[in-house]
Amino acid sequence: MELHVSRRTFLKSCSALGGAAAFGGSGLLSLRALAPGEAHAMQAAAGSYQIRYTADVMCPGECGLEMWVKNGQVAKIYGNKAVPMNDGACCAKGSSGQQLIYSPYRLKYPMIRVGERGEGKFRVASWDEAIDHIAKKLTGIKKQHGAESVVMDCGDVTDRDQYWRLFFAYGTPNCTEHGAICDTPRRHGPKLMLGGKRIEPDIMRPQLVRQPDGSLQQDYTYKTKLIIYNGWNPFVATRIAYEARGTLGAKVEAGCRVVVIDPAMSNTASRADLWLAPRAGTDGDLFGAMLRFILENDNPADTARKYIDWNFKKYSVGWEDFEAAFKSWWGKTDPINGMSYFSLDWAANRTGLAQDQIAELAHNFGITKPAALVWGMQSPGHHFNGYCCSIIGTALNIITGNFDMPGGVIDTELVKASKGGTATGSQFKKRKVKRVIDGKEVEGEVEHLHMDSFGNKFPAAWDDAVADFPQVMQEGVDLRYGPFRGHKYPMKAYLLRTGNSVYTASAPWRWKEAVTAKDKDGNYKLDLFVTIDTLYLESALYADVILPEASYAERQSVSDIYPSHPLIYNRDAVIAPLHECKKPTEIMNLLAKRLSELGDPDIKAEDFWAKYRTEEDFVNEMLAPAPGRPNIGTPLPYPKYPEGYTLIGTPESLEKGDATVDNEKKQVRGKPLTVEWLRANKGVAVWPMSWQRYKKVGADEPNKVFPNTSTKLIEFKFDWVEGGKRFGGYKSHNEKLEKAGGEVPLGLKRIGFDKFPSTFFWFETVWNPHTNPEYKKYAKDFPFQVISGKVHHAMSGTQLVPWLGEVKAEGTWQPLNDAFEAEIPDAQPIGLDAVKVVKHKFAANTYSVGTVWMNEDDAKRLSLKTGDLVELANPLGKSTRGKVFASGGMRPGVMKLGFGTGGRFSPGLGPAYHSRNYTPLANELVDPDALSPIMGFPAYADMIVNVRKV
Amino acid sequence: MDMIAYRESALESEALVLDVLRRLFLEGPTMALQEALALMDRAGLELPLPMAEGLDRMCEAVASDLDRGDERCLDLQAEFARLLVGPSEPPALPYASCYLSPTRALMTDETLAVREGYLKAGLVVQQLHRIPDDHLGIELGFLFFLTSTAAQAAGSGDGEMVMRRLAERRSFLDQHFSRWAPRFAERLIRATEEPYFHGAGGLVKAVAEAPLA
Repeated sequence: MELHVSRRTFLKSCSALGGAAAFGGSGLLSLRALAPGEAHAMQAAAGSYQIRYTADVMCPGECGLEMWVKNGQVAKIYGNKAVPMNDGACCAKGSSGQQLIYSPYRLKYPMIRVGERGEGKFRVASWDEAIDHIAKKLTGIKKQHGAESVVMDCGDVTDRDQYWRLFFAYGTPNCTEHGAICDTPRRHGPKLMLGGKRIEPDIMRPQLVRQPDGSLQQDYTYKTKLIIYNGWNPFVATRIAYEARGTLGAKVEAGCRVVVIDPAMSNTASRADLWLAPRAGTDGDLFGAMLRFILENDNPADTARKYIDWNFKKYSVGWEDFEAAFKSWWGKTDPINGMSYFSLDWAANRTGLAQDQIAELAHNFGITKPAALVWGMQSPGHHFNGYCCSIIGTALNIITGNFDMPGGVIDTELVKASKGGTATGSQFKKRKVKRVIDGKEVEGEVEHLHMDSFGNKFPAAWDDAVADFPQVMQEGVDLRYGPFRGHKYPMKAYLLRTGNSVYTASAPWRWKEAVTAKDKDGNYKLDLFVTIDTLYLESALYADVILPEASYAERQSVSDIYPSHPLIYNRDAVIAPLHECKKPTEIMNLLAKRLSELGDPDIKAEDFWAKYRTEEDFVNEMLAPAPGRPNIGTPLPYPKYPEGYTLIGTPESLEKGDATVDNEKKQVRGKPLTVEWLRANKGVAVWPMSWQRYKKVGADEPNKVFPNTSTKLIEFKFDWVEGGKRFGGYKSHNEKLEKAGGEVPLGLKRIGFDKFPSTFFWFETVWNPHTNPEYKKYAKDFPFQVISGKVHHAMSGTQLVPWLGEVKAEGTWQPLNDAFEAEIPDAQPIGLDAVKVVKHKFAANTYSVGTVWMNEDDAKRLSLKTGDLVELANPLGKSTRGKVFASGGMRPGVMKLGFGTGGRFSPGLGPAYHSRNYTPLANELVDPDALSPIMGFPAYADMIVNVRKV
Repeated sequence: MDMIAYRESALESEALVLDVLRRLFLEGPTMALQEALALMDRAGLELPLPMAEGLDRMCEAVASDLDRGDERCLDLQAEFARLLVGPSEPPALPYASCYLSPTRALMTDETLAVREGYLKAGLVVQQLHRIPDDHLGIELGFLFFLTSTAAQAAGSGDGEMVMRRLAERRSFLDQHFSRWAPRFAERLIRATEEPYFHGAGGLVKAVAEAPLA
């Protein structure tokens, strides 16, 4: 039969296909007829502002914001004065949020790959199709390889719980996040010795403090007298917004001296009283020398030498062991220089600083109180042996009496409010599962399948080893510890949300190899790669499915970025998600439902779509345990309640004094914190500050509630037995090794350890010819150390906003562009549109791009000048290109590249993409096999290069 | 009566073109749309020449490659994504505000003005505040609504309604659509070598520039 479609039948058939009424009806697809009165109501509501309280996720600072919404659109953005982190301030990034939210280039629809991975060829898909595709793959993988073959990586934004919950329920313990590739060696000392994570100076202001008359007042007083920032750059590149303001506040109002230790003159260094520029990767050497100087020169009887506050021993355990282990190195000779470890001359030889400078630094830190010694993400966080530095730094703060003292340092992990509760889904990891190993059925819990915690490489990687994923994709997982010892499984699916691991998690070339590797049948070894994001980043080029997530203004969660005391603020959804973007709760429910339909017995309606009908349901469950911290410290936050009891409930209900005191559970329970309460209270809940939270109020004895260690004391020992019980931060990890017949994990083998140490330990970093004899042979041919550091104005989100990209930040982000033409939003004079997009010709050297920052004398010696294109090559045969920025603000022999500022190979990144051929990609030089031995962290800042002009 | 009868068939033809276009820009080149285009009997259509040419080009592009079926459709869908959706920067953004607003962003005052226009006609975007009101597909849907209801009115002899809908259409075209859609169409045509999208671009341009019935 010959078919002809007339105009009428065409319209009818198409309308039926589209699900809309046929031509005879309205025929509307994306429009609908207004109900009577609806038009009037819409017109009446038009034009008025609604103020919504939320947080900024243009960068990880997550400052508290007010977004003013008109006609369903974000019309104005201001800082939220009620949030202490930013105290009402709103920076250029925060106020440019609309440029990201309303960018026509953000991800809008689910997309499915139609080309090869990396080709960037996709088609639009419906959510149903995309979810179905993912769910079917996950179902097949679970059946064939086990749920543990699936990895959920939640990247660089703090609201990850919906995704983790789903995948814990699905049955994989392998859920991770950006912290794994951020700075885990930096956190090691606080984790082991305090049960914490990040030590920061006590400069968050205002603080809500209980007064002698019983009232609560906002206190803006700064007390800190000395801050030493080592490899830490709060004026440019931390997520802790209050540190920039607080550092200046302490300087101006308390006369605080600021010392910055960094091979590069960072923005923070430029405002410091003293800038010390050691060789890269020698932070631990410097801290070690400071500790030795303080121990050798402390004199309690001499006020000019009274460095140590020996009271610390009342609140700690194991100092003698730690001190003895540390001192044992003094008798050893360092093969690199023939000197005694940690002596001043030894440190001077290795760091390149003068002995006097080191001695003066140690003396000033010891004698000045209160003081704060703070070490950074870039260094030691990005060095192979950063653990040692972190442990010594923690010890220095403790023994000098600065830990949790007014104006001293605070481990923010220990004091922030509890959040998440049962919403996190960690209870699913306790589910019993069985696996057949060598023909024998073995039972254990889901969490015992974790690829790191029980794997053959980094069993103490409590923040996961994301940088090891490329190797795992190629070689699989080999569990050597725990009940599933001997179980092997492949990594078959990788779901990456708001992260960019192909570009950031060690060497991109290794990641590309892994995600595109095929088996003998021509199938990708990694069977499924999904990215979930608002932006199109490099990793998505390799994805099979891209899911568009609601932007930060369109989804809800809570924020609490490293506070001095418990507080939580609402990161509210202020507008509906644009395009086809969906919120994490919706994505969780959609995928859960489809998995259930496909027969997954572990996914149940009552845990997902029947339980969380809105994202507010989910967030309310997250808020339920808050603040969840004990009533401890001086002044006692709530004198009317028993000391040491855990506080739960809104600040208002606790303050009223009629909260329920549960003596059995040692809890004080007021009204649970809810989204509704936060919305009615400018978006934020703040509970009172206190200090010396490790001791009883009015008594010199530990309260045995804080810190969060095995003994609830500060621990200088990491594994020991006392009274028949075993304690310490490494205890459980060593027990795993012992149960496996003493099998040594590969990470420890590399540094010659046969188990996790019981107290102070030391080992050298990699790719450093100045401190590690193994690399001395490279010194002549690769004379420069290369380090990297973040410039916040050059993060992926902000690179989509051209006016942020234009602003120069430090030597790594300078106006060294090639000439180009682009449309950019330009601020207009008063009276015209606030912003207008204009076609602008950028002459050469007028737009900021990532650079190769080097010392000007080094440049002269090599006949290089600012703007020259050079190639940096490392001993592994890898190279990257960039333009030189030569200045005096760099230690000779060191080069610095921005982290994430160059070689951007995603076409979704605007000007950053167009400059990719002359901006350096720092990670291209990283050694992907040099993962630090305990946490499997990439040694981003341990590399050497030579340089040639191109 | 004769006048109205004439206009009904011409209006139906234009509505058909607008239906094709709105479906394409809202849903992409679906298999259903491709099949419908391949089977379309264009002989009886009453269209201005540029529109007829654009439609011919689209239909021929589909018909010439019909034996490749799904594979061909997939190619077109990938090209559609590259041109209009992303994930890389699409060269032909299908939003009026990207051409008419000073900020070139989405959801601007220009978008609100379009919303106002829909409201006056008693309509609202189904996913209000989510899909920008000035998305090309929605604007074409609005034009389709005005044209098809005019055709219906012509069929039932309601001359007053025909004139009202046509006046609304003229106003929307002159005051808004024609100010940006030709630029979009040029970008689309420039950015692709695919005859199908050359046809679609030509058709959009014809809608914006031709004196519709």
